[in-house]
Amino acid sequence: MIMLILLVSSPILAFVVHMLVSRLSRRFSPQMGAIVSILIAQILMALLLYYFVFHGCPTKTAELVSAFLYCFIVYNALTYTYFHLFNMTETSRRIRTAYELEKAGHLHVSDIVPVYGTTDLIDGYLEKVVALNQLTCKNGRYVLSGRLFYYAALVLKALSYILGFQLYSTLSKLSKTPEV
Amino acid sequence: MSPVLLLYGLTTFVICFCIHLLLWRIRRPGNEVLALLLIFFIMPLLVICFLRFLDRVEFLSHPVNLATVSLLHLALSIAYIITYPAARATSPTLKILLVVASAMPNGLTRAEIVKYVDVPELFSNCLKDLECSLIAREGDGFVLTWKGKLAVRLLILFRRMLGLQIPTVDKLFPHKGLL
Repeated sequence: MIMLILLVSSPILAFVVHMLVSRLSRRFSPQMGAIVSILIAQILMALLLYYFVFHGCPTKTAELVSAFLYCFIVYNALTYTYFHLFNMTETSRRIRTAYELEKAGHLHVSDIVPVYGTTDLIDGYLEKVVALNQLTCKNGRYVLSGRLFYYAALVLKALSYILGFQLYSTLSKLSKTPEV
Repeated sequence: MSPVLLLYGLTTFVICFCIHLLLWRIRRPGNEVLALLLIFFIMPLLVICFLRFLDRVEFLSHPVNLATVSLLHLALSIAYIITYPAARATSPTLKILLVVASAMPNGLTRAEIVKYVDVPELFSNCLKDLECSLIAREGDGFVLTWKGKLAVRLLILFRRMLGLQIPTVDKLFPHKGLL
């Protein structure tokens, strides 16, 4: 039961560590700060679990392995949820629009829906992915430099496909014959 | 901890995911969030109650075992449900990465990327989604609903506790503000 209580509290532990990390170190980007906090909290959680649950507890190898896997999956699923929530407050267009509405009280449709060109918006997104080291601009051409976000994109594309959404289907058709 | 508990937890999640997948392929529900909550939370609860009523599964009679399996299922379900909107709506960032990746090793110029990513359309979709939950039309514009106000206040509180500011629109779109 102690194991379950500790695991349930893992997002709170990650949040507390995140509060300390974001105040003590300004070196990290907000997302990187959250990831570092989750990793530090994971070490703390492992120590707590060892001290309160597994220390001096004679168990069979199979039970130990399943307990380890269980703790690993539950901790990472819960802290992944925490990271995702934090990331939404950092980058989500929906959250950002809602925040701007809270500030303004009432907004006209044309204030929210961008009326300016696509290229300006694309520049903003390109700057963001370049800053995250996922793309590099070489001689005016953007090339992949990091793989983390690309793999995340592939997973989401696959999930989107199996759920029957056609979000990236036109993209695939277009990208098969890029005008390079 | 018995490996059976781990298997029960994983199996419960996989079964719920398969039901969700099947349902979405046949006919996507109108209220997707409610449907997801029913599939991943209410349905397993009803099945557990039914099995307890029948007294057929022995491990369900031990509250700790039940809590162990439930926690694994809940952790995976929450992680999935929080990821779901990202799979449902197109992210401009991820779309740009996929387009560039498909043109590797040469990559793409900005003009070529612009042709493939329709950002204003993505914004319209974003507004449509918001209209379902956090914002409402009022006259010729939009206002926040009470849910929206609550969400934004919680978000501000959350970021203040972390010692962080709310990212401005300029940070997302450095060239022009959203407003």
